[in-house]
Amino acid sequence: MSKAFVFCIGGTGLRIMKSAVMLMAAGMKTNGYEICPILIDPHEQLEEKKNLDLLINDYIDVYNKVVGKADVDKDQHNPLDGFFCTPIKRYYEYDGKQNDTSTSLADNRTLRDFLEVGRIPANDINRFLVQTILSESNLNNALSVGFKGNPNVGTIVLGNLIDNQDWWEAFLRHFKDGDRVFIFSSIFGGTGASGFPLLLNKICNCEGHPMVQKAFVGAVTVFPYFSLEDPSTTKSDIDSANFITKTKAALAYYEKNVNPDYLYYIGDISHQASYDNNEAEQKNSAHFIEMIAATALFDFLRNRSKQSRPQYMSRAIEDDKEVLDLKSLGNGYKEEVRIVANMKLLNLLMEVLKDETFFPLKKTHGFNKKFYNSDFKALDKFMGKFNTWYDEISNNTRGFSPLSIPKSTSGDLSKFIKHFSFNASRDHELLLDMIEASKIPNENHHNVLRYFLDFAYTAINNQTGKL
Amino acid sequence: MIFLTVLVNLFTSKKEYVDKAVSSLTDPEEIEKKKRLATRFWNALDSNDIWMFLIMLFITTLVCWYYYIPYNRKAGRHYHPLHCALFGLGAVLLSGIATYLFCLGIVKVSYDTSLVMKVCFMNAIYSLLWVFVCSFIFCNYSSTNAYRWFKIR
Repeated sequence: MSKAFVFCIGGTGLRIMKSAVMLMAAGMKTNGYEICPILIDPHEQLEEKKNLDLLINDYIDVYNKVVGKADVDKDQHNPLDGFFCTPIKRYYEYDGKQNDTSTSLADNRTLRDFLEVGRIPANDINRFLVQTILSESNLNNALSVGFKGNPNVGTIVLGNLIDNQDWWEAFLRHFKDGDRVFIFSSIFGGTGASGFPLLLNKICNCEGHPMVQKAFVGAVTVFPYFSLEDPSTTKSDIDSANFITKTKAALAYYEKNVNPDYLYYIGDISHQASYDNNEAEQKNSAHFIEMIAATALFDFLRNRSKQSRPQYMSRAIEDDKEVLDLKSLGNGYKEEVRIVANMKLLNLLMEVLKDETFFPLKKTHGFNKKFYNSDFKALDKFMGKFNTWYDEISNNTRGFSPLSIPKSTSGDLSKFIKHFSFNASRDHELLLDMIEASKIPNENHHNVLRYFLDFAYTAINNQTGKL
Repeated sequence: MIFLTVLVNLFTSKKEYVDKAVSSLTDPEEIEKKKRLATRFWNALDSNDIWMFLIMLFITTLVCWYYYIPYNRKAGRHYHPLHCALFGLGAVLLSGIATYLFCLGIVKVSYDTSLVMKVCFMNAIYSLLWVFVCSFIFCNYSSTNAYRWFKIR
């Protein structure tokens, strides 16, 4: 199976990966590519990074339960054609390891210590250079909390940090012919804006690894899509008023120096949420732009082949509305709406079926208490995170809210997707379709979770498939 | 044969029935006439009980088939036990009523309503037993969407 190494750089890169995981769980396909996410952020204590790590583990847990873990389970299956259809593998698993044992990218020194500025003679030209491109504040910042929106710091530091990383070595070792590389980053921050060109440069000039040098590389770089509170009131070092200026400066550099095979640009300047300006926590809600940035990965893996010149891609929406639905998004977003709807309908079925004592598949396929207290819990755990994610993107600015979810599970489902009608109007119609799906003799095994997701997807797809 | 020998005979035999019909009479001519009437009534029911049985089988099987196959292919949580119980009860009642209507055609029911009712009741009991047999078959050998109460395989 071919691999896609997905580098997620900086806070926005991590959040895009989060959306990508959610979309893969909902059934977004990768054309058979196995996804190997590599999270790059020196801010080790960043909650977003820890949460993404856990989210990926949760995904892998469900995936392994559905497919059967290689080298452990005798009962192995192909990936499902629907929910959790894409394999995600950690880079250290390619070396047969169970856990990430690499050293942290975080560096507890300040930039001043890192550069050993104190050892540069007072009249040396290098000291003047340092004083020109770096402020006192830049020099005094601890590197362990990231680059605080300063790409000039990231550019200096990140290259050295990457060299010693296990994931970089693993990438070089395991990148094979047919594999692809994709990079998630933002252009207006610190880590992403500096890390993306740096990483691309390292890949394209990787001596001793001709396969890596010729890698088919795609990337999405995100333009400003949110603002931050006034830094004078929060004592933060990040001023979102500079985002556009930094973007323009970075673009001027990217134009000549950053040329992956496919470069996707995503951004939003007309409706922007204002977040707390806390660089240590960065508790930003999930955002529509991150989800759309994530779709660039799927477009790259499914629809693109290597061209003689770099290709630049972007997406537009139909109407400039603050809250987007199927109509205002336009026809180009049907797939995203459909699969998000699929996952929310799966959530509805999960809620209903737990209490459905006499559901016929309890007798025939093991949808019983034992199942709901074992493998189902892994799915339930992931679904809880998906629900939070969807709530965040639907309530954020700009909002992505294409669904009209009834308050109770017994509510009317016919308008579950705004501006689109289902044939079914009640949950029991989906339950019936699940029972019907169970009668198609395509597989015979004892994996109840696999049956559950398979039948649920068939039932749900009967409603949303026409979209 | 089937009813009267197997079930009705648990309560009474043909001889007892005929004797009981004339037990309050003293006039020999009257007794003979009543005996003939009682015997004819008993024989009419007895000789047609195979039809009653077949009617019961047909109705019960039909109701069960409808419940397990077409009805459960319609949406509406039809697999819930209430639906199953209602259809079972429906099969039993329909069999009883059909038996009564059949008896109307072969005997003068008013001659002895209680015996006819007893026959109908017996046929309803058979129907209930047949409901279980049908359920077992549908639960184990059909592609029903109903809850498979009697599934053993």
